[in-house]
Amino acid sequence: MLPNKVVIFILYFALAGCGGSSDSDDSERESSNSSKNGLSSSGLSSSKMSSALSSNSSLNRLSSSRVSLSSNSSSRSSSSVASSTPQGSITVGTSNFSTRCASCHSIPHVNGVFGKGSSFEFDVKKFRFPTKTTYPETQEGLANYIRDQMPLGNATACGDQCGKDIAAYLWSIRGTAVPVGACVPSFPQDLILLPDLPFTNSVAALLGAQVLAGSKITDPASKPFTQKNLVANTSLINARLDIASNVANNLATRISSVTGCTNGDQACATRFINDLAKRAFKRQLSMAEISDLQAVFNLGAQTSYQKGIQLAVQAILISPSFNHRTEYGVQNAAGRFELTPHEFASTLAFLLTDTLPDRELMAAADSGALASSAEREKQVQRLLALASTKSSLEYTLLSAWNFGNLFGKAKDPETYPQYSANLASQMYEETRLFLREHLWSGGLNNLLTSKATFVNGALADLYGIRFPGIDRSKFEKVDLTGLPRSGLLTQASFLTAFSRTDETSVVARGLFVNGPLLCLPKIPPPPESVVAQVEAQLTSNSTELERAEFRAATMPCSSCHNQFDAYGLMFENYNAIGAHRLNDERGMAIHSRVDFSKMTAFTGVIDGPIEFSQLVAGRKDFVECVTRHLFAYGTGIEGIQRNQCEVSDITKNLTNQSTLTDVIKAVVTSPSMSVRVPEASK
Amino acid sequence: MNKYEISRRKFIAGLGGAVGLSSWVGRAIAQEQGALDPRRLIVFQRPVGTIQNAWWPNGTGTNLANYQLSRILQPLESFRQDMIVFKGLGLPYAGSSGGGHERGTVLTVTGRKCPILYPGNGGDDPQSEGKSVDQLLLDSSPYLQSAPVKSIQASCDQRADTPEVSTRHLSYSGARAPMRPYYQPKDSYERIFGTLMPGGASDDLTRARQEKRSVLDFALKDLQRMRAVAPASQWDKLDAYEASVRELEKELDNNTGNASCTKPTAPEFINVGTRTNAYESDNVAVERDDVKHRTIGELHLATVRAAFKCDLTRTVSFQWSPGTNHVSFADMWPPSPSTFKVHHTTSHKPKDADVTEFLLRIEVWYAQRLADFIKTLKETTDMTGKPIFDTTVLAYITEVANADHSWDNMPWLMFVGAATGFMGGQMWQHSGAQTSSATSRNMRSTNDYWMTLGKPLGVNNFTLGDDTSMYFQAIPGIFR
Repeated sequence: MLPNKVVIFILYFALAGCGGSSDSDDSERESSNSSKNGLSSSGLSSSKMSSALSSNSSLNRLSSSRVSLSSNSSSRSSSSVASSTPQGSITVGTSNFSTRCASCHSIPHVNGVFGKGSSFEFDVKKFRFPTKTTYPETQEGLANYIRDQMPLGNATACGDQCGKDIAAYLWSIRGTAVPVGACVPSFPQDLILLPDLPFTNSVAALLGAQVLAGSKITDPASKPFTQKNLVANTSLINARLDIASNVANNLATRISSVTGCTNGDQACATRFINDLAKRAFKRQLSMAEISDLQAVFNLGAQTSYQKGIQLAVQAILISPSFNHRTEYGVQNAAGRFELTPHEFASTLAFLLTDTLPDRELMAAADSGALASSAEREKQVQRLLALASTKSSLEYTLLSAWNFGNLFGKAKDPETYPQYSANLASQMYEETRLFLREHLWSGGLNNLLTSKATFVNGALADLYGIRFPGIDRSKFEKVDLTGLPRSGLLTQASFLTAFSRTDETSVVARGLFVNGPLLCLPKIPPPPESVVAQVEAQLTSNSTELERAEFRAATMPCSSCHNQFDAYGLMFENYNAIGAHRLNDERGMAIHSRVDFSKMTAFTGVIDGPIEFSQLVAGRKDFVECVTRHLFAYGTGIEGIQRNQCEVSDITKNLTNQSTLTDVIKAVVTSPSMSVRVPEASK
Repeated sequence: MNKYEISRRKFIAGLGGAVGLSSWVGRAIAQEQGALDPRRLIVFQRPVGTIQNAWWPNGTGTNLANYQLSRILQPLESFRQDMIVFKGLGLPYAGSSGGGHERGTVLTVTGRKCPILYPGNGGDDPQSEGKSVDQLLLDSSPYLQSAPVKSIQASCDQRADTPEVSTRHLSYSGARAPMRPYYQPKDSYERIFGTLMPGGASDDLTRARQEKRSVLDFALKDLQRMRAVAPASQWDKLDAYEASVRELEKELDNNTGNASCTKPTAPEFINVGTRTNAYESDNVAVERDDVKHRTIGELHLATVRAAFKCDLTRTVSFQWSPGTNHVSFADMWPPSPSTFKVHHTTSHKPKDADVTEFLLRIEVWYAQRLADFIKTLKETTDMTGKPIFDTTVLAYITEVANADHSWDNMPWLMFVGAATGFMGGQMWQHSGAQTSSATSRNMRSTNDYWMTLGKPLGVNNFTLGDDTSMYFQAIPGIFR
């Protein structure tokens, strides 16, 4: 028998269910094995184990004494080994250790000493490898040892990447030096109330879109670019109660097709309800939850079998577990909190699809496979192949760029008689189709330079081209080569959304380029002292060029406007609904060449938006900004800036040729997506 | 202090076939035993400010009887003695962000600085940093509580320039917690009267309530479990959820045995006109909206009046439209009455005579709708047998002073029933002696207007604002 806290010279990891290796075939095997096993060898599901671990507060406090050292090393390593890399991922390794090793080597550790569990205690700072082997006492040696020897009795089940990840985690605890400027993920634990769109999407995912007939559905085209900070109140809960009630009513005639149960089959009803609740809650159910749902069903069943199911469905849809997702995590060795596989599944699903994890993603979370970066990438790849995912991400980017502003955008009917709300919708549709065409093939920067777009008859007229189709209401793909248009910045959607009612807006267009397009430093609003002056300028009879010249020559206006007015001036050849023009409202010729010499981000003279788009396409700015948007959407950290380390750690490996898929994979596997810190208690 | 003047006999007669004691019965007994009369608060908004020189009454002194009401206020002539015109109110906008209508709306209804913008949403959409004034007063007022439905929010149009939050909401349950209004009159009706059974609940209704309660009970149990594993930092979110569920649970006691209260006929379903599809938009403002706009408003207000009559709610925020009003009006554009001009966009045209006249006519139109509503409140009695208006506080507000987004001389009125001690019939003008430093424009803070409403609603020392830069004190001389 080994004495307590003895120095262990020979380390045996009894890795429980650690299957798979780095190649894809083994990844599938890992998923399969894990699914079959379902539970760790201790009999606890990973989520329950995580919960039990996180509740050991005294040990957590003790282990936190090493936070400053190990957490920093963690962040450094995790940011550089976001996916399957030679170094292994501390983030994934922490999770793997929790779910696969901790039944024999219990955690949390105390100053590097892991508890006995069902097998052996060991001190991570002092262990050696079996002397009869050739494994060097290095991180790589440890990784190879785990790969070859673990788990005890099922050697090689962990595999190459699994070994690297766990080794990375254990090695980080030994106290690797912290590099200067390392990025430490610091986003707080959170409880997130689902916004309306994810809520109704999730209802549809559970029960089919038909059940929402008659309910208020959020249009994805006008979804807000925020996933967090929504707070429950009576009006919100009552609105969802109304939807739940309506869904239940709609189920009345579809009970058997939705549940697969014959009338009166109580066991089948119970299975249906429990399965529905598990998917809705995005995690395993507790016995108490199962029992309480059964009670709701029983009450309704006093009236009818159908009523019992309807009532249970309503209870699930109005429950806080369905209406929220959590980002609590389980405390790791560095004192931070790794999202559980189920939490990560939700984070991933709502980022990519604005809805619940689908069954396959849930299965990956159930088995614990989702803790590995390889599995995460695999799931991303799978989800990105779905049309619904593509559509969701397209709307997310349109939301990030504020293209929803088009809806409700009114124009002066005397100046723009051809403009209508319907035309605005068609402008939006052009951009949506354009994204569908270009987002999923080729680099992101193609969005700025492509000459290929889609028009219907009305847009063809607006662009001054012949409509190539027969049905003018249908959109046709066209090539705009030879025309003064290329990419997003010359599309009517942008040009209209960021104009005023009766004229263009240098300020709005400039701010768009500075903000949503390039994520350059935020421009503050004008000080109160100039509000009246601004209003006077806007209502004056000046042209936009004259107003810009006034701002450039006037303090304090110039201090800010010099950083973005030039962007807006580039677009003066396009009127307030995006039609190309050579002269302004007074008939004066418009000069498209704009002096950027007072700008910081760009310099020289740029000849209009086409040249500007080419310039930007040669750089990483746009790719980095899209990365920032997706990261902000996924984490709900609205104020995150493109140059903050959590984002720059992701973008440093991207290029101006990167695709949206590259960006998403980098975002999803970034440590900041899966690590949280406690928020100070309120 | 007034009490319900309900005889026991009338009270029993009112019970009809009630099964058991309804919540209304409980409230009636409580009132008989000395509880306060109900009073009511309505925040009543119209958009886009006013035409200043066609708004202010013409005359001298403080007695409104000595003034000739302006063209815009003419529809309210019958209610001179029930109203006070405030001149010299300024919105304390310093330290906040957002566009003219956006910031104006949040500041108007919360009285708190709103420096943080929602991401996207046009870039000028500020978040509220606290509860709205109606909810603050509701929390503290002994007169406003006890109604089964704590408050109702109704709006007649949800279109705005962008998917923004700020202009679409008048009520907030907390920071960044907008209380979404009902746009569909049928929905506001269902909320109030959906579970009401005059004369008591039938077996079917009792059963339906039991089932609904089981759904809410499951949510409460779920909340308990979630709280057990949640970090303490997240408990406030669970608290908010729980408070909402409990409030809805309480509404299940929405019985009434009041003989004077009959369940009104449900309003017709109105297509409130929301864009539902990105491509096949049906939100084309090429037709007049004002007829439908008026119908929606009147149906909402009919529900509000019926709810007051039955004492089913006492706090209401009513919005005609977001400040960026998309409603198109016919017969308003002087050069061409058949042209359907959109209110907000037209307001930003140069203020020539036609534009000014157009905006003025719309202001008259909204004033007429207000007058119609006040008239019905005067003609309808509540459970005490007295006119509803006698104990009602109505704040008539808008988010900007005029179409140019000024926040000086906010054209706000106050209509209050005399039973509250209201000293109506005044032309109140800011003397310049006390300003809020936040306005710093020789204006009395609009927060002081709201603070004045604390007295009739029984809220002592009611203050509104982040600090004294945003308010001074309740305006004296308004209530006895």
